[in-house]
Amino acid sequence: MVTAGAYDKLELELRRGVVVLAALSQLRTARYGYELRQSLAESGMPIEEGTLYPLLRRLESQGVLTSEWRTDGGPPRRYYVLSADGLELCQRLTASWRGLNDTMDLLLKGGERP
Amino acid sequence: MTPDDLIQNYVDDVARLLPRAQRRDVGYELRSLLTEQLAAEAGQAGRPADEAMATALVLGYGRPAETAARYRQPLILIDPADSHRFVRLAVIGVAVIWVLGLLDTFMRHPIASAGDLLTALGQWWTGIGVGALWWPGVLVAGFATAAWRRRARPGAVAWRPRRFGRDQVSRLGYLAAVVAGGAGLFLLFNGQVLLGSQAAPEAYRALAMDEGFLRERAPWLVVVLAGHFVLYAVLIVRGRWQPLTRRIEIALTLAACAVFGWVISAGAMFATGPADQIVKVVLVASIVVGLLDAARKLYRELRTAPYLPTT
Repeated sequence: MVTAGAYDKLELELRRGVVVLAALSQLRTARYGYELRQSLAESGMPIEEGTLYPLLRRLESQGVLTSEWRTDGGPPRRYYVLSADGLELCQRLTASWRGLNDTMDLLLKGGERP
Repeated sequence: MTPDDLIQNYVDDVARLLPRAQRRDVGYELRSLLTEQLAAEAGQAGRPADEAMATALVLGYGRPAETAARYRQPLILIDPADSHRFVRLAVIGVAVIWVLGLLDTFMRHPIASAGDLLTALGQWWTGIGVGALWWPGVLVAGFATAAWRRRARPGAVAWRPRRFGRDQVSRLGYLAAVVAGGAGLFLLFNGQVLLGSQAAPEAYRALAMDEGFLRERAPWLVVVLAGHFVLYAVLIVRGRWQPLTRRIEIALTLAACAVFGWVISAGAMFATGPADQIVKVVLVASIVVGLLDAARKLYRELRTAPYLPTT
């Protein structure tokens, strides 16, 4: 019998693999950290804040995102958006994800790749 | 403490662990995110934010060190793939140094009472016991350098198959071992050769052997070492290990350890104390290394037996 702890760990591993693509998919328009997290959670992809916010910084340092401080009448917030390279990366990762998804569908149905 | 103070406290601890260039910016952003999230949670709970709510929020992020680490590229000193090997080498190395140090301490300080034992153990611990930690330090430096090289030049340090299979023997290597061993044995009994004819008389006396050792124990020493030479000669001719030669080697190693132990404990080997001490320390080290080697090979023998037929 697989324990609940083992399930949680493996499920977390699965989610971890798609965190970057999930975040990139929502950054075609500029968003700040909390807003992005809310958007992902509402779409059924809750990501821990302690994971998401540092991830945005790391993606920015890799040139995938650009960011700027905005006030827009409220408190200052740092907004992130895909850079040109980030947009291309997002498209490539999306294609890769769809390929993986098709393969996994086939595998889980017990079929074989045509 | 107010919730704002608590959040600022947490952010300060995180920022302190970040690179200097990032501290201000990341700290400011993290503070604004935590404040906004706390306000949202307080709104959902239908009550003003308090210290308990703020504490639960920042604890959800993890320790400040964990949060700060997520903002940086991970720093790996020792590759995870090497961790088990590192721990094994560190533990075995420290254990060997401790055992050798303990033997050396007992040889230098004969134990006649419980007080002597405690004194000797105290000297061992402050000298060798703590000092042995140089070995894990050297290993960390070595493994970290290897990991850095692998990352810097992945192709240059790729795995390559061994030149010789498990059973194959490097004939040249074993021939060199026989020659070196023979030369070492010759020099052990003729150390004066190293001095030439111009050295001071004290130097010749320092390398003079004890008469009792030469008469009673030295022949046995030569016998067990000669046994190794014969085995190596057989291996050079056959070009490969076989089940029988593996087992003979284990037996010869154990026999050599027993003879070395007897030679050391039965009295002086050299006429002068310093030379005697140095050679005995070398022999004790050889015993420890030999026993570990024999144990490892015996373990493999028992695990892999029975052998597949060999040609």
